[in-house]
Amino acid sequence: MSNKLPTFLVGLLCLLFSATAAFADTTMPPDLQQLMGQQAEQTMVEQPPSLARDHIADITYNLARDVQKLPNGNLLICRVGAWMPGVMEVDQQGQVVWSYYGIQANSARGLANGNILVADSGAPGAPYVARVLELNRQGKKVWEYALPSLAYAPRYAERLSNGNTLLVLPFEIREVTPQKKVVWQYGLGKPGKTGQPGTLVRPVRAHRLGNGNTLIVDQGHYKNGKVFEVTPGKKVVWQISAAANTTASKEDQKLPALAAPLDALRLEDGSTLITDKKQDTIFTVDSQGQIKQAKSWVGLYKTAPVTDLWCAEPLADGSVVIAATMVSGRSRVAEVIGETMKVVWNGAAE
Amino acid sequence: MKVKGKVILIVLCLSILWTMPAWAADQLAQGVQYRSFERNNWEGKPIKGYVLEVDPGVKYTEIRPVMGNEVFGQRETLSKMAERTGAIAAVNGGFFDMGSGVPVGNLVIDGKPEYISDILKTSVAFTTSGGIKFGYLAPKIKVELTGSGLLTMKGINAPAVNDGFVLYTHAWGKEVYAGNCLVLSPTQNGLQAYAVAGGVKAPPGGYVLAGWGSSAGQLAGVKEGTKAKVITEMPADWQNLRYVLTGSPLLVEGGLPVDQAVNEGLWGQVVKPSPRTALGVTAQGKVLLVVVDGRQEGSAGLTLEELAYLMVDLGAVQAIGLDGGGSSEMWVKGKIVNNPSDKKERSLANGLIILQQMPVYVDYQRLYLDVAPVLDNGRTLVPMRKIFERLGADIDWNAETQTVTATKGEVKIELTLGKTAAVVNGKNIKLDVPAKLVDGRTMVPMRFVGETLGAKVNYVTTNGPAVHIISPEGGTAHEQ
Repeated sequence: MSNKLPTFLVGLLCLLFSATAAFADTTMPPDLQQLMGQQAEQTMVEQPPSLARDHIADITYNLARDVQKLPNGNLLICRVGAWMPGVMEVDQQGQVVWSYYGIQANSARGLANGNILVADSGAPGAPYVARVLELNRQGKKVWEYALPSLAYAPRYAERLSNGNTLLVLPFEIREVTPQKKVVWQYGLGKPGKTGQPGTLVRPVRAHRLGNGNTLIVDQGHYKNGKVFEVTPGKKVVWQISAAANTTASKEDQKLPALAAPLDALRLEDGSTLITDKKQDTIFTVDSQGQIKQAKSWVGLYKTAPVTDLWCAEPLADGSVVIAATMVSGRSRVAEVIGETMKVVWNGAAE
Repeated sequence: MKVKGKVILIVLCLSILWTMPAWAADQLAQGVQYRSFERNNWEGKPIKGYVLEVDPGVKYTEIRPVMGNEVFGQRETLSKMAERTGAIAAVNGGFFDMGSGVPVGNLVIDGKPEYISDILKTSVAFTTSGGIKFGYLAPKIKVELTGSGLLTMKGINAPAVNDGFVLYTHAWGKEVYAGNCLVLSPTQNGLQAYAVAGGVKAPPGGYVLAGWGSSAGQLAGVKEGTKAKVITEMPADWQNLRYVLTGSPLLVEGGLPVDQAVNEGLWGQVVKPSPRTALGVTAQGKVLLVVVDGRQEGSAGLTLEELAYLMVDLGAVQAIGLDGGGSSEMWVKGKIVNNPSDKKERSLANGLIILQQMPVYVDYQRLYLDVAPVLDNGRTLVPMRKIFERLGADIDWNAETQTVTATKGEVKIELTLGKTAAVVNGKNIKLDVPAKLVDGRTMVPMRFVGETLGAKVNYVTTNGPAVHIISPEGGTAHEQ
């Protein structure tokens, strides 16, 4: 009898302590409770990716290789393949408002003067010359820079503020003047060995930064992609690679690593947006080269599965413009809204 | 010899014996070598590859496209193609429609187009002078009829059109029904046209010119015997082509990898790691035929970009991809040496065979000899059965007397192995060389047999040495 009483009292105390939290809840101010509830909703409810533009072309005889969103809201699309390749501008109703056929363009960019700067792969058909050319809206060639063979086919070209043109070639980044003089270059101009300085494995984009440096996106071959910034003197001053982010904090390690970068954009605050082909993800990387955020648009593919992502350009607001081929063979060109893409937080992309 | 010396000699002999099988396995024929390799792909997964290196400069060497059963659109396994043609080795060829067997792109055999297309893909061509060329080709076919002008074809071996002309070769293999048809028949003086009613097949070495819609009227009234000429328009730097096959994509140019797969319309599963077949040429002019296994444990396959780098590694200065996936196969001396991803041979619409035999044509059709012709004292000996049957003769072999008897109509020929005299309709005829046994096969003098059966036998050297035999009928019932 005397032993049972202490046992009962201990049990009663345990019960009382366990009920303490419940009692505390009832004393929380209503506004604080409401705020906590809202925050809980924000961290628990994930927004599916949504679109500002979605252009699905019922064309299966060629592929949408590249896209740019023009200032007027139209899309400038490069279509490549075995039939009827060309560059075309598509309005928001999906109508082709300008086109130039018979060119296998790896990229096309609208210029401030209204012309279009095209990186022509030289692939079949005529004239089978790898080149960069500027076309006016009447379809006339106003400038051309030819490369010596199809092995030098330009992947991308952009016009710089100094009037020069920055080209991405298979193993080289090159800047040429309007008079076609090469004034800067980076890379060996041919395949190099792993670790060899200046080796570019598979460069896909290069952008001149406001500080005069060049941001280079090297997709790599398999998990050896990297994005890095070089000075005019070719010194690497910033980079992030697909190798494990070894200096990441425990929290950051939950984020996926870079795999196959497609494009990059340096923001005013010094961070860099990078899109990834293998993971359909846009990364935010800080000035120390650390991944701070990763958002994936792969949820879009549930209703329209994509088999090949050819292009993903990050925009300053965190949105992404993509060009892809779907499983059906049709093309999909879309602008994915940055705010609504899923935040990949726990190391697992959807 | 001292003991030490004997031991060294024995070791040396054993070493030579040990390496000899390797030498023998690699050298398939003069100028034809075979080897295999293993390495990892860019994902670090293992791959297995197989290489044929061919010197096209060796006499009678051909890297020749063949159609399935020699009929346009038909499909045949690579083993059968290789066995019936007497090939030294073979690989699968270009892409084709899995349903119809129609090639994706151009197909030219012996300088004669069997299919043309303006599809934007890369073609590879072998010239009559032994050169090789890579690039884009979109030939145009025209037919010139004396007195009727030049007619542009909408295609060759293509389906009927609403309005226009299509040309059909003997390989079409089926009767053609059209608004109006002309048969263009080969003669000693070139092609001559004659009109036909109803369905008609193209004769060997000839064509059917079919017209539909308003174009059909242009063929009406063409007089029998009108001279005709088929003109294949090619760019100036694509002349004297012997073989053309479209592949995709261009892989190597100037010794550097080319990244053009997407621009040639390849996407989806085709650009993922897969089994591959490729053709390249080295700086020394040697042709490389390469197959890589894929989609299986032990060989994961390659992307097209990896394939380009592989061809550069193997020494190619130019290279093109051929059909891959389940089509990727290599046949060497009697067997498929790779591991097709379908787990069995796929029936192919076309393949590439390596031959080393004097080309023989009977009534404009290639006579493939499963044993290569033999030159003896200036005379060409060919396998008995093939030549007699192609010329329409019945044959009988007497093993006891080692005598072959061939009968065609009223002509009876008796040839006994080793005897320098043949018996023709009971009369002895002296031979420059007797029939003989070569590697277990009875070989008979080709010119003697052909001319005795009433055929014309011409040895030509234009575009390389070849024998052209025209039978009295100008065509036979047995074409293989």
